[in-house]
Amino acid sequence: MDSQVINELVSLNNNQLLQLYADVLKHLDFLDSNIIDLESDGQNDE
Amino acid sequence: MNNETVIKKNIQINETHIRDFPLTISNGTKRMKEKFYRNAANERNKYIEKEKKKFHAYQKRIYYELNSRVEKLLPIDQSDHYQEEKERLRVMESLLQFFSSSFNSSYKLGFSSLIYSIREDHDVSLAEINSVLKQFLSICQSASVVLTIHDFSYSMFVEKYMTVFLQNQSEEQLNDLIKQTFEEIYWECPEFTRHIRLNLLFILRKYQKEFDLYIERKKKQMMIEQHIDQDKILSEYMQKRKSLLKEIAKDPFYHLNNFLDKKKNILDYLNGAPTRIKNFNQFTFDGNYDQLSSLEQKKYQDEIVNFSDTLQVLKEYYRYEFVILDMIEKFRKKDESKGAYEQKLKEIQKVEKKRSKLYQEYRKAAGGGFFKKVHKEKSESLKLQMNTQINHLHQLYQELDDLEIMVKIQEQLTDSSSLEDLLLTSFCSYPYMNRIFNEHFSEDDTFSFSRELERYFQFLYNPDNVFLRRVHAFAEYDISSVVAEKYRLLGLNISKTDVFKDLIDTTIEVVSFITCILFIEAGSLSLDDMYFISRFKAIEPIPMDDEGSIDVI
Repeated sequence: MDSQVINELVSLNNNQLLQLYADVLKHLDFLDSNIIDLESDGQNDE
Repeated sequence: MNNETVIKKNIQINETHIRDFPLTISNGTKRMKEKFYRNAANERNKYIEKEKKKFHAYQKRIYYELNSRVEKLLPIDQSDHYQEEKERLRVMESLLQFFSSSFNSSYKLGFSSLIYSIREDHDVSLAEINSVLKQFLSICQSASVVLTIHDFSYSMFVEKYMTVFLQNQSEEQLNDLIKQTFEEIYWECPEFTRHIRLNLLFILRKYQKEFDLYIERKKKQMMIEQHIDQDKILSEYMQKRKSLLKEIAKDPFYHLNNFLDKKKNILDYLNGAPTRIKNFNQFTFDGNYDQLSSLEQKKYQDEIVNFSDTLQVLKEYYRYEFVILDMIEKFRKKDESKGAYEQKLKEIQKVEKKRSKLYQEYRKAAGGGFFKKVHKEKSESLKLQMNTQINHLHQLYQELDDLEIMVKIQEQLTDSSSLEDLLLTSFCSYPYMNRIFNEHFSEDDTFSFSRELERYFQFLYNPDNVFLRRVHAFAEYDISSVVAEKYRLLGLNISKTDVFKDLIDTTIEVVSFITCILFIEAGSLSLDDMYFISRFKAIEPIPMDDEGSIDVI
């Protein structure tokens, strides 16, 4: 992992780190929700 | 928070990239549009999958960082240390009682609790009687008093039972072996436990000197072993108990676990929380804790801690108020019973002589030796007489027990005695405590005399029971006014009703809330750190790899 990322994490205070963790989780949800299921799209078309 | 971290930047880039990613074209045939959509969606999906991997790695790395910070903060569980300290206090408590001149040898050596545990108004099993007998014999043996069957000749029934008992006392099957003997005795002597009990009391009187000498020997031995000075033991005990209580009260491990287990809501305790503000304001005169100067706040905090200690004692005072009232009444009537105890003792001695004579007659009638004629009818009649005599003695001993407290009152209390003097005097009479506790708590199914007596001891020897020492027992006083007035003078806005018996729990709740914060602040782990840990613990855990760290991609 990028050492800059690690350095940044270490420099954050506890609240900022917890907030960042929440942001990452939220972003993972966002990424998941944006995946397009082409197979079911195809089936729907049929 | 610095929004310019690499991760935050990546989030923004991703959001923009995914949102603006072209999935459709406006020109072309339907087939061309479909093909474009499929290719674009595929491409965006690939991008998202790549980003997911990256963000899962970020997630793990952040979790690892959080976990390592939490691990560094987590307080050590000191329960074992406290347990050891409590054990030391237990030893000191038994020494305190052992060294006290107020208690008799029966109490000090543990005979009283054994004898009172086989009162016939309690539900006692044969196994329990046997266990008490074994313990009784064992204590006697420690005191170099070796009991034989001759010591159990209080009545023909006890002698018959104890003959079998002494022959089989080391057998594992003792309870089964003796059951038949018990059943034979029981039909002739339904109050058999009474006979046993009186016989044990008789033994205590018979070997009184030996037991007193044993106590003296043991006291010397204990002082050497425990390195304890008899004169300093009380002050050392009080000091040790107070410091241990404070140590436990400040313990961050316990506070943290109360929050983690949701016994307390940490959000209420944080700076600025409405509950915290309300509770801190409650005992200030102008209703605003934050308006107090830092010096005033410090004084307020100190007095709240003292008030909290007093409330705990006051709550126990209310629990045992019935003892105080009863003792006051007895003190007022103390002159009526002067000499009654000695008189009762003389009466008992006379009846004991009759009992002993009856037993001698029985032995002759039952055939005391070879070629002696057995007078069956006479011996049966003497058995009946013995039962009557023992029931009479039982009654007399109960009356003697009831008079014991009067003797203690006459010896130890004066018009100027304190509440503490009064309560300590009550504690000196085991029969009195036994009767008054059993009567008062008779409706309580969970009541245990030994547990209650232990609680009573803790109350009497509480280092914070200052008001018990200061208040005159026989003066007119209103305890809620005394306590409230004291703390008002010390700067807390306490009303008499705050410490009323029915409202004290609500006040204790608020005061404990404040002291909880004060103790946390005086400890090694701040409330903010506890809040951080509790928020981290609420996160779904990510498994750690074998090295104890997270496998970060």
